[in-house]
Amino acid sequence: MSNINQNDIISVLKSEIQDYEIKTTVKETGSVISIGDGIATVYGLDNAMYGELVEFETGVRGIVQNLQAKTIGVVLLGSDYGLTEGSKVVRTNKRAGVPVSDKLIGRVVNALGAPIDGKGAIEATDFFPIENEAPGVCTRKPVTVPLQTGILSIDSMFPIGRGQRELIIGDRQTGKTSIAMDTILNQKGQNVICIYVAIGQKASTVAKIVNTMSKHGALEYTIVVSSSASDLAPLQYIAPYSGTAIAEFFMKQGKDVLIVYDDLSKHAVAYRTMSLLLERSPGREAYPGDVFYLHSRLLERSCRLEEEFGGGSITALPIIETLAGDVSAYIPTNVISITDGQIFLESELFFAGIRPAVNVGLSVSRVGGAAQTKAMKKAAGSLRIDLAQYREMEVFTQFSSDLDKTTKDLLDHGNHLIELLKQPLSKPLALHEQVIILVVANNKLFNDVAIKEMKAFRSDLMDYYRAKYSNIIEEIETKKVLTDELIEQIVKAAKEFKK
Amino acid sequence: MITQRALNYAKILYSFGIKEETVDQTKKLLQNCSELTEVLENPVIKKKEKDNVIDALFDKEIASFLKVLCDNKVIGIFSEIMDAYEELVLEHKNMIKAKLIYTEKPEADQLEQIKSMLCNKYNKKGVSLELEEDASLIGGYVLYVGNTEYNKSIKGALSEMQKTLIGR
Repeated sequence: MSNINQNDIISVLKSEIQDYEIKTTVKETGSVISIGDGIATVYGLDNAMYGELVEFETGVRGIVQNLQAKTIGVVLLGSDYGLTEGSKVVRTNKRAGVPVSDKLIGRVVNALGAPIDGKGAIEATDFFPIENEAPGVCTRKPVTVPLQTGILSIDSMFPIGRGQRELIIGDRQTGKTSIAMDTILNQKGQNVICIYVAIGQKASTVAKIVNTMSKHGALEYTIVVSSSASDLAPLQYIAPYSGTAIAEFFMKQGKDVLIVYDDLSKHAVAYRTMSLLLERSPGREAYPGDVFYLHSRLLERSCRLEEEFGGGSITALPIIETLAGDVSAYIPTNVISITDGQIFLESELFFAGIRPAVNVGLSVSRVGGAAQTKAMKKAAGSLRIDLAQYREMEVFTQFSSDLDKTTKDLLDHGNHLIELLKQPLSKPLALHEQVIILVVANNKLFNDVAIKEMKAFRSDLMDYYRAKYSNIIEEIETKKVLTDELIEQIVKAAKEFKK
Repeated sequence: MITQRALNYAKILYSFGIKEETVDQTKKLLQNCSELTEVLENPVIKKKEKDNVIDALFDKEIASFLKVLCDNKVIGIFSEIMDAYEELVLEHKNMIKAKLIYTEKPEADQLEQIKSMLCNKYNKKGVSLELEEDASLIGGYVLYVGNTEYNKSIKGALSEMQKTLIGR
């Protein structure tokens, strides 16, 4: 910026002003009759559309949300300072939208797409409406390409495919955001653009997340859309739609996008606030009647497009916070029914040290199976069943001395599996690591290692593979198939290491 | 603002076929004398007393209408009813209401030009033009017809130019 001459600016301004043509402007105007809590009732503007942007005389903008016989209800997207009864409102004839461009990558923006990271303006190449119709049936393609989260328990048992919507649900402090963050970190070099939408979060939490991202180099392919707890309810309400509009911009270019909505419970609360202030009737839990549509129309926009329609995809990871593990509350049941599966996190597991605290019994991925690599599918084959059998027998652990050998072995194997599925934060595993660990575990080669030493043993084993058997690693990563010979090789190497 | 309630009362008033002058006088009286409105709005004052006041002050034709307004406790929206009534009258006469804000009062023939332009544009027989002077426009004029604003003032042009320059 420093090389721009002061005189240049002045001359540009002068010519702009000289060439300015004074035209008669024709505008449709209305006037404010009441204002409060970020909601304005406007008289006039008879032709305003639902969802249209209107501009108040102070320059603040608003979105038309209620159309009544004589008045319209407008939600403000900024401060109501200076607006009084009688203030003028002008139609813009535009629907609310966000400016989009490739330059958004690596930036932190607010719900209106304006930068809030102090790194200067973002040049827009296009303008996308925040509310957009979801792609139709014929434009969609089945989900078949995996999106690796790097988390062993998820990739092996509840795989996520590109274009899928997988809900992350659990109580507070169970590691919901961590799973989403690890997934974003694992997309490095995977040709996936990530969008993290923070809704109603503390600004400090968002700052921490942005910090973690930049520390791990994830900000290079990530956009953060933040509407923090101090933002107005209408801004929190539009944040996930803005995020999706940005995602659609990239999807239309044929790119794969991962979008995290953190979290939709707070989004529903913001919408409830807005609806009640707009005097819409409250329904169950005081949410308005269209709260299901609120989330269904948002999540329906995630999909995988056919090549002829752009060929990109949007994978959505919505997050829902439950209260005391109650998944049968209104918003959780709604979002569970909209998504293609859920990862259910439990406080009990979390505090027992099983992290990520995934409840294997209640979690499911409805389309993920098709989106798993063949290698992973084969390696993870009996994992869920083994864990289910273990849980069934778990109650007998206290009688361990009186148990027969088969039951004892089963319990021992289960304990080792659980230990294997534990994974520290920000340490995503690559596909080959996951496959090797699962193959070794399936052949019960971990079972004679003491539980306490598992972690060290596992990392030493992986180092051994990397040093001596890089051919195995290469074969898994390139062919993504697990042949019987390969399994033999892996087992042989593990046995060799144990000697 | 004209509410549906005011519109309903205005329609009734219009259907009575009361002379426009009578309605106009009533309007002026009620608008200029705030004490009178206060008395009629006051719920503590008995209906009989209010009726006596109305009978003494207003024309017979409109008195019963005002009494109903007092009975229904809606005398407070009388000015709204009047706005709605005026619109109904104009509509009936196939006329349009407009407001011209200027810095320098236009000549009579200029006003005629504006009127005939509006008549042609909105396909009406006449225009009821309200005039207002506002020096803050700096120059030019602003014309309001219904919800539409035609702005050819210096103030409007400056704010448009500001928007173009800062790219908002």
